[in-house]
This record gives sequence, C-alpha cells and structure tokens, in this order.
Amino acid sequence: MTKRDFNPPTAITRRRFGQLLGLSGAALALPWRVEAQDGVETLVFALPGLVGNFEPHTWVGFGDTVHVMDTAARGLTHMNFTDPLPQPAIAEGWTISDDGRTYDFRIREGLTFHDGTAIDAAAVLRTFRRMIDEDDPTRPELSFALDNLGGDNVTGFEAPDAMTFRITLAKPDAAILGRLSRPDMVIVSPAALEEYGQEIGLNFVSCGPYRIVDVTPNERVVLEAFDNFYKGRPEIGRVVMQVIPEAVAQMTSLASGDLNVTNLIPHSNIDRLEGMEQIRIEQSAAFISAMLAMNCEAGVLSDIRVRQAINKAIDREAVVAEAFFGKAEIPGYVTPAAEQGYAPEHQRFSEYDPEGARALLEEAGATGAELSLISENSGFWPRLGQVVERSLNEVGLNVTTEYLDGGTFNGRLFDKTAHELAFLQRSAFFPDPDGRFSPLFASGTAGADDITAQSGLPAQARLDELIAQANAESDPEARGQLYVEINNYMAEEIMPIAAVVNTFLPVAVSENVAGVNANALGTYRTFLEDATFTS
Amino acid sequence: MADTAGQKLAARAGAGLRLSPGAALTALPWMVTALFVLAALLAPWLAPHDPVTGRAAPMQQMFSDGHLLGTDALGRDTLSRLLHGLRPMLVVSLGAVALALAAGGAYGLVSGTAGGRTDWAMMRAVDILMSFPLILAAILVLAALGPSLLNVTLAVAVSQLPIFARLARALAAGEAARDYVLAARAAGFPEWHVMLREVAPNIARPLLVQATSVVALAALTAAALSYLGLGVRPPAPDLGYMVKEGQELLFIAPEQALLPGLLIAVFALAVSFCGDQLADAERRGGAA
Repeated sequence: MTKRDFNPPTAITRRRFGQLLGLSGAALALPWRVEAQDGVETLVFALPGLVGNFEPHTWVGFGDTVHVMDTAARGLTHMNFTDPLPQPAIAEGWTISDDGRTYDFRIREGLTFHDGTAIDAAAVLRTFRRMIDEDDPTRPELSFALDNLGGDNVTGFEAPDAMTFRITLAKPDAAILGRLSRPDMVIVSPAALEEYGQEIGLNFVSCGPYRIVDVTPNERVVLEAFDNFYKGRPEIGRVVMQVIPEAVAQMTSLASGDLNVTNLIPHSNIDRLEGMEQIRIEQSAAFISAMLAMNCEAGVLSDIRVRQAINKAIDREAVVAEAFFGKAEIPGYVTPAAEQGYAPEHQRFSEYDPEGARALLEEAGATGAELSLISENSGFWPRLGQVVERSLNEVGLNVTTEYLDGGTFNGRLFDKTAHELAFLQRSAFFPDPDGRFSPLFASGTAGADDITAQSGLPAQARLDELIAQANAESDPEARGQLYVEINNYMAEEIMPIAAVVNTFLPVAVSENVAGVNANALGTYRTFLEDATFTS
Repeated sequence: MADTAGQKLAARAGAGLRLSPGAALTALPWMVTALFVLAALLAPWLAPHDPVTGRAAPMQQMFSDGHLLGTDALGRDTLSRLLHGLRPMLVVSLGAVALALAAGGAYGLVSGTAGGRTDWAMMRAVDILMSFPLILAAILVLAALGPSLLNVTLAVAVSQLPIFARLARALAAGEAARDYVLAARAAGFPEWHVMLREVAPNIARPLLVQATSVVALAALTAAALSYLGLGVRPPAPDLGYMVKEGQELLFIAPEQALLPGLLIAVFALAVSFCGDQLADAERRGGAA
C-alpha cells in the first residue's frame, strides 16, 4: 500500500462544496416534496421525542413508543375511552369460564400483519410466549409485559385450535380484558420476530391501522394506511409523527397548518388556541389524576387525623384555577368521574374545609408540624406544588417542597424512608377501575408498601379483601358498585392519598380534521384510525 | 509598594472615565448596575405586595388596578417578584465571583509562583475542570449538593474558578521571574512571604478587572441554573425560574417571561460594560 492510498479521494473545492450543499438541501427537502405532490392525504402529529425503537415489551422511549405503537399495532382487545368496557379488536370475541380463570379469544378470520402473513392463534401465541418464555431468543433482556398483564397470576397461554387463543389464570381477574388493550400487549408478526429477533423494535411489524414505512430517530416516523386493518383501511392515507418538542413551536406549527394534531399543548394556552380560526380544541374526559401520597409511617402522618386534615386543607378550586388555568376538575376520590367505580357521593372527600383541617391538626397535636413534599420539576407539577404547599401552610403545617428531576423523584418516591408527602400521577392507559387500585393500594405492591406505606395498617386487610373481591367480579355493574365502596372505605378508614385534581392532556387539532379520539389522546393513548379531513 | 493595587486601579479607572468620549454614556452602565443593586437591597420596601404569598386574581394584565405589571398564574404580584428576584441573582453572581476570585486566585498564585512540577500538576487539574462546559460543571456540583442559594453560589463559583486560576497562574509566573521576586528569594524570605507580600499585590489589579467582567457570566450561569430548576426553590422569586414559568405563557402573557429575561440581560450587559471600561483603563494604565 502506498502513501497515496491514505489521501482523501478528492479535495473539497468551492465548486464541490456548493454541489454538496445543494444535494444536501435537496435530500432534506425531498421527502416533504413527495408527500406534498403524491396526492396522499397526510396527517401530521407532534411527538415529544423519538428514540425509534418500538420494542413493545420494553419501552425504550415513552411518549413516542406509545404513540407509534397505538398507531401501528393492535392487540386482542381495544378500549376506546368512550365505552367503559373493552371492545373486540384482533379477537372478535371471547368466552370466560364459569370459574373466571380461563379466557378463550376467537381470532378474526382473514386478517394479516403488515408483512402479509396471516394472523391466527399460533401467531398470537408466538407473541405471548415471548412474554413468558425466558429462553425465547427474541425476548428482550428486560421484559415487563408479563408483569403488566398480571404477573404470576397468568399461568399459561395456548392455542387449542387454529383460531382460538387461551389465557389461563390462577385466580379470576376481571381487569385482564382491559390490560390486553395496553400498548405492550400488541400482536407482533412471527415472521418478523423470526427475521429480526431482539431487534424487532427497530423493524416493527404488527397489524395496526397504519404500517411503519420510515423511521428517522429524533425526527419523524412515516406511517401509511393499512388495507387489511380489522376495521378496514383508515381514510387518511398517511400519518407523519414529527418531533416537535417545544409547545411554542407546536402552536406556531398548528397555526401555520404544518401540524394537524397534538396533545402536548400546555393547559395555559387552551383559551388562546380556541380563539384561533384554524385550530380546534377537542373536549377530553379527565382521566389523568394528580394525587398527594402520604407516607403512613412517616412521623405525624402515621396519624389518620393528620392525613384527613391534609386532605381537607387542599384548596382544589385554587388548584384548578391557578395550576391548570381552569382546565381540570375537582375529583371525588381515587376513581375519576369518567371511569367505572365513581359516584357523586365521593365529592365529599374533596371538599375544602380549612377550619376542619385546623381542628384535626390541633386534636392530633400536629399544628406546626414540619413536613417535606417531593414533586417533579417539569410540566404542571411546580405550579401544583406551590398551590398545595400554600394550602397546607395556611392551616398550620410547615411544608417545604423539593422539586426534583424525574429520575431523582422516582428514586425517592419508591423509597418510604426518602419521602413524607409526594405527588403521584395516575393516568388511564386502560380505563379499568382496577388499574388505580391493585397496583397502588393493595398490600405487596410498590404503591402500598413503598409510596404510601399503608400495608401494615390494621384497616388495610379489609381493603385488600375488597380489591380482590372487585377484581373477581365478572358482572360489570356489580363490579362498578364494589369500586364505589372501595373508594369510600379507603377515604374513610385509611386516607393514604389526597385526590388533588383530575385533568387531561389538551388536544388541539386543525379545523379541517375530524374523528380524532380526544378522550384517548387526553390520556396518552393515540388512536388515529377514525380521523378524516373535512376539507 | 506605597500604593496598594486597589488604589492604583481606582486611580487608573478614574483616568479612564475622564478620557471617555461621552461621560453620560460612560456612566450609564455604572448607573444601571447601581440601580440594580439598590433595587435589590430595597426590594422589601419597594415591592408593593408580598412576592410569595400574595393571593390576588391570577393572570391579571399589566397596569391592572394595584398591580402595575400584573399577576402571575398563582396570583402573585409580578413587580414584587421581579424586585425580589433580583436578590438571588446578585447574591449568586457577586458571591460566586468573590469565591472564585479568592480560590482561583490563590490556586493560580501558588501554581505560578512555585513553577516546575507543582505548576504542571496544578494546571492539569484545572485543564480537567475546564474540559467540562461551565454550565455542566455547575450542574454536576448541584447534582451532588442539591439546589439551594448557597449551593448555586458554590456551583457557579466552581464553574468560574478555572478562569481565575489560569489568569492568576499566568500573571504569577510572569512576576516570579522578575528581579524583585528573585531579590526577595535571595534575601532569604520564605516562599509564603514571596507569594503573599511580593507577587500577590502585583497580580491583584488585573484579577479584579477580570472579576468585574466575569460577574456578567456568573449572572447568566445562575439564571440558566434557575431556569433548569436547579436554583432557588419555589415559591421564592428568582428571575431565571420566572423565565421558565413564563415560557409557556408566551402566547397569552408574554411579559411573564420577557420582563425577567430583560432584567437578566440588562444586568449582564451593564456589568459587562463596566468590566470593559475597567479593562480599558487597566490596559491604558499598563501601557503608561
């Protein structure tokens, strides 16, 4: 090899630099020009970021993963956030055994994955075996899917015939139909799994309304309508999920028509956007709850009277007006009004009663007690923290709030020795009432053991019984009534949290877009298959 | 050594002021800086409302009744928060520069006067610190110590320390080779005496001029840290955090972000001009 071999192939002249610059510009502009000229209706959706890996069993990203997963994939069931009960999706129906432990799902005939391979019970089984079989070579190193489906309570998956998929449980779990609609329960093409193995997230193939055709990390995902979606081909031919992290940039993009749908606009800007002709704010149900978790083992908080006083002291009207600019609701207790298990009688638990709070603190000898509150330092949390801190200090407590980054906050939230009061958010990935109780308030969970530390309280045994009873109840009406009772019991006998506010992600759409599922978008889910352009 | 470095500096700065083309323009940054300091000192008396607990109607517009600059999302008087918000900015920027000047200056003095391997090792340590962007170094310090006014001051001081260490080392190394230092050593004075009594007074003047320039940088770093949520803890008012709080309100109440941003920028600019004037005076004095 001569020395010449190491030289660059060509020198960069001014002319060549100009050519490269022109080519780069053309390359950047090309995809957008194709979209504009090929006549395919394109809906642009804003993403907060984009990692570009859509492994359903280990979410590498967060917001981007769910948005893309909901658009490109589907599972056995679907919750549309309007009906309280799960709807058929890839499964056209199901039967539940008398003992409530065996679920048989009938797979729809004639469906295919985006790669053209058929969807049958064996294909569904392949996806689910990946959750449970630790020797599966396609399984990601960290897989949370089985825990999210039911953990040890799930005892088996099988395919008794070509179009029937069966799940067996150790004990009845009425919430499992809702859990099957989670973004990490989507069905993945076995052929793609075979081909890409652990890299399926980078080459994701499922059976949702849109198929992924191009992914540019940190920039955008392009998806095209899928002909063989179980509800038929979506009317809008293409969805572009574009990274636009800044709220101000989103609002200017909405105003200019470069963006059609977003759920990332701050609450403060809703009124401003509603006044603009080309933008519409969709009404969403308030599925997102902000709660104040109280560590039942921490100092004065071990006295239920102090916890009740804190609950009474929070000026929720001020919270709604000041932290959410009026775009939120005063909650009842744990279950929001939009979900099964809510009853108007729960509103009494959120009444503002500073005098009652002072009296309870006095009675408990906790007037002037010093307490620390931890909060995340982004989004609406700092405003919320300041209003709540002010409310609590006005009744004679001495609360100081620490605003922490997400990682530090979570580290302290799940360590009962590292917090006294802490904010807690619960949204409805699937709006089943159990989603707010079993993972948070049943003994043995991180919520009850580490966040509220309520597991050791004498009243907890009855709460555990009620939660188990409600989740074993297959009759929806009776089940809903049990959750009404659970809310009442927990508020009256334990009070491990104060429900502070229920809200939604504001959903802004172009005036010429209809059919967007605002309830889902208002709580982090993204179902765009029914969207249409009206002009 | 009849004149102290400070006296010489003052004399030469005074000479610089007299030579400026427009006295008013020359005086303007000093007046603005003085105004900021006064406003911060007198904030409790100047502010019309409590900046923390005021509970008026939220989001009132500018020139509302009783609220000249309106109220924020939590119903607090914006003017009162701006006035009180000056205090942490001044405390952090002046405190951090004073700390960085003292620590960095002493470090550089030892390094430059000692020379040889000590100098080499000490400067490599500074190189390591300088390899971090200033703001990242400050964030690392705050991550370790947690956010508070004192810790922000320390974090900003750490981020500015290499500037003074390098300058002091260069100046000290230059002075260490001069005859009067060699004479002091030959006379048998101990090394601490040479450093403190011979070299230090002769490098103090340029260090002080540099410090004035760095105050602006420190103020901006402090504001950036507050903007990132690493500064003074809410609900205490802080200009950097007010920019962050006001950012999402740009479409509906732009003054909530623009006014604190403007104050940060004007202060940084004014202090920077003051530093430039002192540096010019120092150069003229050096050349004279």
